[in-house]
Amino acid sequence: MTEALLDAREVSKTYHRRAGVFQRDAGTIRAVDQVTLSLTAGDTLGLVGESGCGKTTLAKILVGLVAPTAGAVFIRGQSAARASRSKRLSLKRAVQFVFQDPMNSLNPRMTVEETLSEPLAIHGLAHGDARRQRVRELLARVQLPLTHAGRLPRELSGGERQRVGMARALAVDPEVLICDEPIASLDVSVGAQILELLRGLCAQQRTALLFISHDLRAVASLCHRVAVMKEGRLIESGPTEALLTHPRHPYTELLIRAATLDLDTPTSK
Amino acid sequence: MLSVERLSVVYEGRGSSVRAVDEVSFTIEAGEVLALVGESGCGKTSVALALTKLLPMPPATITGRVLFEGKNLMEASPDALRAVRGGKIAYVFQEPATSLNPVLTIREQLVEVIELHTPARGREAQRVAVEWLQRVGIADARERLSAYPHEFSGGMQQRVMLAMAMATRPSLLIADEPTTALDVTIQVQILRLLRDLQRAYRLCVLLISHDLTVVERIAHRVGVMSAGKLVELGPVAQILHQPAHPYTKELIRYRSMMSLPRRNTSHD
Repeated sequence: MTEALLDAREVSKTYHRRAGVFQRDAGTIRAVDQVTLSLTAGDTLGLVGESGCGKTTLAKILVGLVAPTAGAVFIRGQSAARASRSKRLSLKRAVQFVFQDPMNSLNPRMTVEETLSEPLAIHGLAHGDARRQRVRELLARVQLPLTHAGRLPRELSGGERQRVGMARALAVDPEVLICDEPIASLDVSVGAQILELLRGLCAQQRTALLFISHDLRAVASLCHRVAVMKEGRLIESGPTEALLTHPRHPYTELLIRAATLDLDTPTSK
Repeated sequence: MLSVERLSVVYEGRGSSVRAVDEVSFTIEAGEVLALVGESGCGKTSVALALTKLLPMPPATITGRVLFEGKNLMEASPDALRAVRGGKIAYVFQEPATSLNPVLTIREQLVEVIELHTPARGREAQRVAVEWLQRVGIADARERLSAYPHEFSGGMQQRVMLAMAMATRPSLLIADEPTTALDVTIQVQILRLLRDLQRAYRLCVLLISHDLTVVERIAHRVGVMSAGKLVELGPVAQILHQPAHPYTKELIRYRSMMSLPRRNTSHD
């Protein structure tokens, strides 16, 4: 049996809404509602859903940026929330995150080299010349010229910034990579290049990938499995081809028709 | 209907200038949908805005001819241009939320446009407004007239924008990425509405898009723009299946990379 690298068991996140001057409780919002999913080495799972369905909140729970109200996340079978400090650092290293907007997720005052050195320093991975060498390797892996090492984020294009975001995530050799809408703010051709790069990286290193997107076409081109999220819940998941050709849930059917821009089948929604 | 001849747009900066649109020529026939595709910065939006001189000048300088219903818009007076914009040539932009005035009701905005560009006044203008809201699929149109833009969802706001564009009975509709900012399931609805309006009123449409699938669904001809130049122009089927320009080939390769597996369903 293959061990799950990342395992989320019935995680939920509930927010309380407050209203009026006295901040009275105006009900709760279930952003993520009892979601269970797991990733093993070499897995590529696509998570699709429309804006507001809870996919980003789920991603933040998986990397430990948001604490779930119920349920638990296990990394290599261990709970990061309950682990000791040093143990937690090594567990967190295993799961890395790539954000949608590379401009806002990079420090504008740090050069590419500094950005890529930081995770190496935090996890004590390489020092001195070895660290510089490691930065060059990372640039090569995301196909950026070595001359970009001294540049600031504003001196890079959108696609180049996203490559830096990916290199930063890859710096600590993660076992799981979570990408939240990594191509949503990029041009079609640049997005396609990022997808190709991700495909190559996952195949080489057998890094597990959770690819979050509203774009079913991008998900289908990259992932072996797809999970569909709606109003906080995972409503359907399965192997990509089977799910796309024989969707069981009407909402999945609706998403497929939307992705192919089927204008002639009337929608009830 | 519309004939654009050697249209160029140059943006002058301090010490440098950018040729955003470089001698672009095309025509749109009555009842035809022409799409312009290309990546961000290729000049497609500059073309759309330059047609009615909707660009701040300076820094922009526009050269070339834009013949619309027999007149060269580039030589038209500011008053004549103002009458054409939002009248015979209507625009729909990507972000409905920023195109609508947040402090005015839908009634105030819709009636203003109708009174400005058509003979209808007062109660008659209001009747036309309700009629158009109904035609674009807004339920309880009469009641919704008093609502403010923020009370509508993004898809509904885009419907209001289409009502506003159509209410003046334009002969050319310029739609710049009209579905890009919307959720995927809403995109289909707005695109279907746009196609149905186009067919029902035999509208000329200039559609700006980065998405070849959108183009395939509603355009008759497509022009491919790259670095300010129109590198290829032809019927949609021809461009999609026999692209001539290397840049077009690239776009099509990316599109096929991202296609869904075919399904054996009766309607496709």
